[in-house]
Order: sequence, then C-alpha cells, then structure tokens
Amino acid sequence: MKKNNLIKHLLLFCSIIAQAGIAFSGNDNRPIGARQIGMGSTGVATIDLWSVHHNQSALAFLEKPIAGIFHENRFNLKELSHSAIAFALPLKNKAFGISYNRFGFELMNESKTGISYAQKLSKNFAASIQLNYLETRFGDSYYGKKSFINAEIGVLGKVNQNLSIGFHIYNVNRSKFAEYNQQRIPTNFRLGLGYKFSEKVFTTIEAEKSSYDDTFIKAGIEYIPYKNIYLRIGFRGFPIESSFGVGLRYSNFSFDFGAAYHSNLGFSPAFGLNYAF
Amino acid sequence: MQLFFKHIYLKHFLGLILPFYFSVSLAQVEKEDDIQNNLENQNSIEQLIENIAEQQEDAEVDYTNLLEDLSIFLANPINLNYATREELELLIILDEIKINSILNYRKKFGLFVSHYELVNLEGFDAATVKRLIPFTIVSKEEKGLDFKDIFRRGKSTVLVRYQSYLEEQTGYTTASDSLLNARPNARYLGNNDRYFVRYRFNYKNAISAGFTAEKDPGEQFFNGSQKNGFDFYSAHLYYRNPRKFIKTIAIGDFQAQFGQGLTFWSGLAFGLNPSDITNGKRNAPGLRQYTSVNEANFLRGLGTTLKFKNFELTGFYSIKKFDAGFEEADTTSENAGELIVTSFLETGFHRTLSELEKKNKVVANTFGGNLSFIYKTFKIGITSVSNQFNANFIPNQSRGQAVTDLFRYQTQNFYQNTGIDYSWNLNFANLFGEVSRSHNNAINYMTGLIAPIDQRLSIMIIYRNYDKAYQAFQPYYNPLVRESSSLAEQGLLIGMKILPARHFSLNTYFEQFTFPWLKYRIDKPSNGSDFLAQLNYSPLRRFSCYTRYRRRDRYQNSSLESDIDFVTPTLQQNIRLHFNYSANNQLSFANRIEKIIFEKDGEKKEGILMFADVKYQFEKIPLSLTARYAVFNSNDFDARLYAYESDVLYSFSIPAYLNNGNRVYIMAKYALGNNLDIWVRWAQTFYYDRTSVGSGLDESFGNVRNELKLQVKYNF
Repeated sequence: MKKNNLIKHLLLFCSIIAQAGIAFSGNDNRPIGARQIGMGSTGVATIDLWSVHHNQSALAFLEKPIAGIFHENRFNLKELSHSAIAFALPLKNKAFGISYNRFGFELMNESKTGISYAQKLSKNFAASIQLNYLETRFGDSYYGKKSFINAEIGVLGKVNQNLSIGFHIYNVNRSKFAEYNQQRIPTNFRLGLGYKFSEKVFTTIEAEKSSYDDTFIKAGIEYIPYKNIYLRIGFRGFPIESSFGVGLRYSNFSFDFGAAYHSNLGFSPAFGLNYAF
Repeated sequence: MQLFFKHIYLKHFLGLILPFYFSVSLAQVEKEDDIQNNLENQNSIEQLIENIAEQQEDAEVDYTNLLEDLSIFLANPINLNYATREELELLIILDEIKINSILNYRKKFGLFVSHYELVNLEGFDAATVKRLIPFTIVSKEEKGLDFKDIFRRGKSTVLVRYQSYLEEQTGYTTASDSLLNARPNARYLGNNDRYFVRYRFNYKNAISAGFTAEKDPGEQFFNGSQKNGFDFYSAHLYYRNPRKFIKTIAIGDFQAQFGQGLTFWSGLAFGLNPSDITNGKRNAPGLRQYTSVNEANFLRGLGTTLKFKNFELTGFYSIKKFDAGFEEADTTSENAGELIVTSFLETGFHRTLSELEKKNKVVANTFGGNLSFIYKTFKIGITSVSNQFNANFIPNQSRGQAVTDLFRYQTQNFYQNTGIDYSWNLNFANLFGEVSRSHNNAINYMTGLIAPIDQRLSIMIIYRNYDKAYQAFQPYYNPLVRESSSLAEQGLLIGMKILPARHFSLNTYFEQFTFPWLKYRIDKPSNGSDFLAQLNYSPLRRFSCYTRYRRRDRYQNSSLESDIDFVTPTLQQNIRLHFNYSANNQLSFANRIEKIIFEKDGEKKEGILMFADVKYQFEKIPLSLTARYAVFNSNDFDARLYAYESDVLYSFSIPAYLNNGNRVYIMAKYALGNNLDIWVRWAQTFYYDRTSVGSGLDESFGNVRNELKLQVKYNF
C-alpha cells in the first residue's frame, strides 16, 4: 500500500539520518564532489568543478570550462542516493557555474538547482554569489512539494603560492522551510585553509558550523604519487569519521572515487566524472 | 576502589646515566649538546612510557625489558655503517622511514663519514640526528666479536634496592587471633619492604647473562611461605650474533616476539608515541632475554634462531607456572576432584594465604616457532604456537562477567595460534601487517601503511579487525589495541607527522573504532573515537616545549538511576603544556600544567596537575639531585592524571594523581669512584581532602604517604 511504504521509508530515512548525527531539518546542503568527499568533505579551499557547491569563488581560478557528473549512495543505500551534474565556465576575470543535485528516492527527495557567479577582485582574490532553487517532494507529490529560494556567498584568497584561505556561507537569507514552528533551512558557515606542501601534496583544514548541529573540524590530504594518480584521505570530527579516495586523470577526463566511513553505518561510496574542454 | 599508586619498573637512564656516560666517553659531541640530547630523548621516551602506563590497568608493571636495547646501545653504540636492518630496528628512535634512508644511502653511496651526513636524508633533521648520537657510531672499521675477549671485555653489574612506605598500612598491623581465625586473609604475611637484587653480565650486544630476585611488600622473606628467600627469581643466558648460522640462543627466562603481536608476543610492547606518531610499526625482535620482574608474561625454557641464506627459523619451548584462581571439579561430574582454572593472575603478589594458594597453580607448556623469509625489501614470516595447560580453563560465571567474557574465554585446556606477518618497502611507503587464526578458526588481522609523502609530512594508516571470538593466552598476546582490557576491536587509525616550520613538529592521530562486544563498564557493543594533536617547539639548545590536546569519545554504562541498563556517551579531553629549559650545564628545569575534563550524564568532572622539576649536577663532586613539587586536584576517578617521575635505575613510577593534594620527591645520586653508584629517593604525597590513603589492606591512616628508596649499583 502506497501510504505504508512511504511511512516505512520515511521512518528508515529519519532514523538513519538521526543516527548519523545530522539534524533532520532537510536540505542540509550535503556535499557533492567525489574528490572532496575523499578528503573528509572539505572543499572550501579546494579549486575544481565541484566548487560549484563548496565555494563558488574558486571557479574564478579555473583555467578551462569543465562539466561533470556525480553520484553517491549514502551508507550504501539506494534510498539515500545523491546525484549531481554541473558545469563551470571560467572567463577572463570571472566565472559562471550551474549545477543541479538531487538527494533521496522517489517517495522523498530534495533537489537544488543553482546558478553562480564568481568575480576576481584582484589577481589572487575572488568572491562569488549563487542563487538556488530548492524543491522538496514527498510521496510522488501526493503529499505535496515545497519549494524555496536561497543564496550562498563565498570568498577565496591566495595568500601566497602555497597557502590559500576561504570562507563560504550557505543560505545567507535563512530561508524558511515551513511556517509551522518557523522552521528554517540550516545556514552553514565554513572557514578553511589550503596548503600545498609541494606539487605532490595538498592539504586542507576547515571548520563548519551548521545551524542545528555542532561545529565540525574537517581535514584532508591529497597526494599525487605518480602523474595522473591521486590518493586522498580525510577526516571529520568529532566523533571521528574517516574518509578516503582515489582519482585518475586521462586526457581531458578525470575520474574520482571517494568514501566516508561511519562506525555503525558503514561506507558511503561516491563517484564522479569530469571533462575539461 | 582501585589501587592508588601505580608503580612501574623501568630503566631510567636519561637524567642520570647519560651525563655520567658522557663524562667518560669519547663522544665528539660538545658538552652543550648533551643537555639538548637529554631533553629531547627524555621527552620522547617519557611520553612513550606515559602513554603505555595510562592504558595499562595493572598496578605493577615492569618496563625494564622495553628499554633493554637502548641501554645496551648506550654502552655499546651500534655502527651505522654496518648495522643490519634488524639491528637498526632495535633502536626505537629510528622508524621505518629513517631506516630505509640509511640503508638506501649505504647502497648508493657507500659508508658514512660522520653523523652529520644523516641530516640530509629523508626523515632526518638536526634534532633527530642529535638524539641518535649517544647510541650510534660512524666508523669505517667493522668490529667483529672476539670470544676470547668475553671475560676481559665483558661488564658486570650488581644492583640492590630497598623500598618501603613509611606509614603503617592495615595489612601490617597486629591482629587478634580471633580476627585471623575468622578472616585468614586479613593481614599480609610478610613485612612492608620491597627488596630487589639484580646481577647482569654483558658482552657488547652479543652475550647477556644474569639473574633477578624480588620480594614484593607483604611477602615473606626466608620465612614461612618463602623458604627460598625471595618470592620471585629469574635467570637467563642469552647469546646473539646476527651474522652467523646460529643467530640466537636463549636459555632460562626469555621473551619471544613475532610479527605485529597478533599471534605471539610475550611481554610488553610500545604503542603510539605522541612525539613521533608515524613510528607505529612494530619491529619484532624474535627471541630476547628476559630481565624484568613481571611475574607472568615471559617464557621459561629454551629457544634458538637459525639463519641460512634468506631464511630465519626460530623454535622455542617453555614450561612455566602461572598463578591462577581455581576450583575443583564437582564430585558428581566425571572428572571429580580435577583442577579447574577460573582465572589467570598476573600481578605476582603472594602476600596473603589466599594469594599463596593461587601461586604457581597451573603449568603451561608452550612450544612454537617462526619461519621468516627476507628478500631485499620484502619480509614474510609464519608463526605458530601451542600452549597446553594441566587443567581445564572455565571462566568464573559467578563473577558477573559472564556476558562480557562470553566469547573471550571458552572452556579449554590449550591455545593454538598461527599467523602470517609481512613487511614490504615500496617506493614511497612501507606496507606491513599480520593475519592470525586461533584454534577455533577466529581470525584477527591488521594492516598498515607508512608513507613519507613529503619532506615535511608523513602519514601512517593502520586498520585492524580483531574478532571477538579470537582465543589467545593473554600473557603471550599483545597486538596494537586501543583498550587493553578486552581485545575484540575494529579500528581505523590515521596518524600524521608534520614539520610546519623550522623548530616545530606537529604529531597528530585520529582513530575511529568499534568494540563488537561488551567491555568492562560498557554493557553493549559500542564505538568510539580518539584524537590527539601535539605541537613540539625546540628553538634553542636550552629550551623546548610542547602542547598536547587529546580527546576521547566513548560510551560507558550510565550512572543514572534507571530500570534499564543503558550506555551513555562520554567525552574526555586533556590539554597539556610542558616546558624544559636549562640554565647551564648543571641546572635544568621542567614545568607542566595539564587539565582533564570528563563529561558524562550531563556532569563534568575535572582534574588539574601542575609541577616543577629541577635537576642539578654538581661540578666538583659526583652528586646529582632531582626533585619535583607537584600540586593536583581531581574530583573523580575518571578525571585522574598521570605523570612520569624520575626514579632510581630500573625503577619507575607513574602515579595517578587523584583527589586534592601535593606530591613531592627528591632524589640524590652519588657516584663513589668509578664503579659504585648510590641512590636515595624520598617521595611524599599529601592530601587536603582525605583522612586515609589507599584502601583495603593497603590503607594507612593520616593524610600523608611517604616512600623511601635506597639503591646501590656496582660495576665491575
């Protein structure tokens, strides 16, 4: 029976999310980008296509247009699948980005469509803004859907050739989820550093505070042992959740795999494929 | 209530022996560097020991064996030009990365000319090289072993120690006959003193022989139950020559340690070092002499290692008695009257009638061996060991531990374990691990990777999975674990060592783990995580400091009143700041401040510790003084703190600081002539908030406890 199925899946969904320690208010802006997931879900000081999610100002430092797709099965469950598609177009001193992602399954899902604009304010400094259209659907629209708009801003600065610093705020306008109880989508604030030890080693550390959750520290390391092969590990605390990832580059393609490891719920594998034009 | 003091025996040579050795050796190091070496080595090794001590649940543990090799190297420095990989592995200061660098350099460029060439190698910096100097030489000549030389060049040491608490404890007071009739274990049989005697003969690293005798406080002496004098005797004869066919012979008391400790590892092992995190791979030494006074975890019999081409074969056999709690089989059962063991005891105390009853109750026959194959950068070994007992082991169900120990102990009179261990040096990393199987087909495995990915950054990743049903004989089983009390664990550990800037080093690890079954104070399967970050700063010869933050997320049984037994999250955080500085060659200081916060059930328990240490070496007379004044305040057992203390040679105390009080100690060491050293140490703990110290038979009235140690060492 359709209604029973929905309730069963919703309860499963809620209980899993609650166990995983994420506040269930919906639209938590879960990360996309298999490279970032392999590095502990850091991303505010990382520069690649998936900065369309993490820190759009990084797009202004890209050299070529890139398109990509992403897929993750959280805790290896297809009901918690997360897919995304994105495209970034860097121009002389600015960049545009567009992305769409969707989380959930047919009876309950959340989607976000975003358009971003990043502008270089100096040779080593960029700022950005993104506007999002979000939609949450329950039970195949049987129980209705809700849609809202919010905005994100970000800044990224390169202190020198090794060190960069960035911050990003999601949902600056504190968009409302529902009138009842004045429920608002969480606002996420992230502040982080990126440091390049060498051409082969890149590390990043950041702190993230989401409205309904504790502050998390995240860190990630990316190591390039041989040209075109990338190895990544990361962690998020506390309590600690480790993650790891690998990446391969071939011609204009890059393929990334990353997974976070939860002590009770297991692995959340994620894949991504990018193409640089 | 738990035993208050933890006395841990460990050779403490750093503050005391190093200056002494330097004054007679031909070290090319300037005197000023000695202070620096002392500080850095001292810090690092102190922290290693503290780290193990905090995890040990036992009150009395002897660490002498762990630092055995370092003390031998101090007297017989190893030649970096000819040392084999195994010999380098015995130096705990060197980790895999550094050893690889040394061997690669020798292969490509030949011999080293001086220590300072090491500074440019991968994994080394000036500070590390300085720490290495006391234990190594760089020489073109390869000195072989000359056996005609043994008695001429060999060195002997005799050491005698006396130790006592000055306050009278309950267990030593006189008791009426009626009390003793009603409760025969109400008093200790012997006196309050601890006696320790040790004789050692060493010929370089090749031959070691000796014996040790110890009487614990409360045990009798040449009287009553101890007609032979001391309660514990140990003797050994040990030969090692890594270049010959017969590489090792061990007779008497010895240790056997293989792989990463998942199959067979008697005795103790170092865990993670907060000053050198990526040094997490164990280097199993195979057969070693046993020189500690822990009464349970060693082997007694004989063993040998043979070496041919790329293979090494080790075999050993041991018959050893263990203390055990026991019962006799029911008269109604088929083995009426037969001995059943209900628990193994490792403390080695034989002070009361009931402890004496359990003494040497069970005999373990252990035999086994290891076959290893070493080819260039690859090593693989297989270990197999069998332990047979003269009694069945049936866990004591009535102790309330039945469910917790459900998988850990099964009814049996033997243990059989087999495992394969490996180590492989790849281009940019070292991969190591071990897989092991117990006789009931439970499998344990661990695998790790150490990768120096940059001059300034190295990473270590270790994954382990220990099955809850894995059966191992505890005294001979010692893998890397987060909690030593019960061994079923799964965990992923990532460690990093970062050199962010000159004079700084940052060591950090983070670990998430799962306990697949119940544990002590955790009545359901649970998980947790650990995090540590330590920043060391050593800008000047005379000054170094570090700050450490540690965090543990765990579950524990809730203390709240409830009809349901449930677990609740707990959080422990420690933050510490520690300084070392020396005014000149004679005078040095150390300071520490540490705070611990423990949160559970909505309550916060806190503890704080501050201390000041001073060390003074007189110039005109061979006398050195070491003293500490510590203040502490901790209002809960879970918020207790530990700190390493300077102690006489081969003795080490890491007391737990609990309640509100001060602790003071002062120690003097005097060198009479070239051969005789005398130590006197007095320590006192004073409490503001207690009227008695200790509990049970160890309780003494009053709010002070004084301890006195006297020790004499004679070299010839």
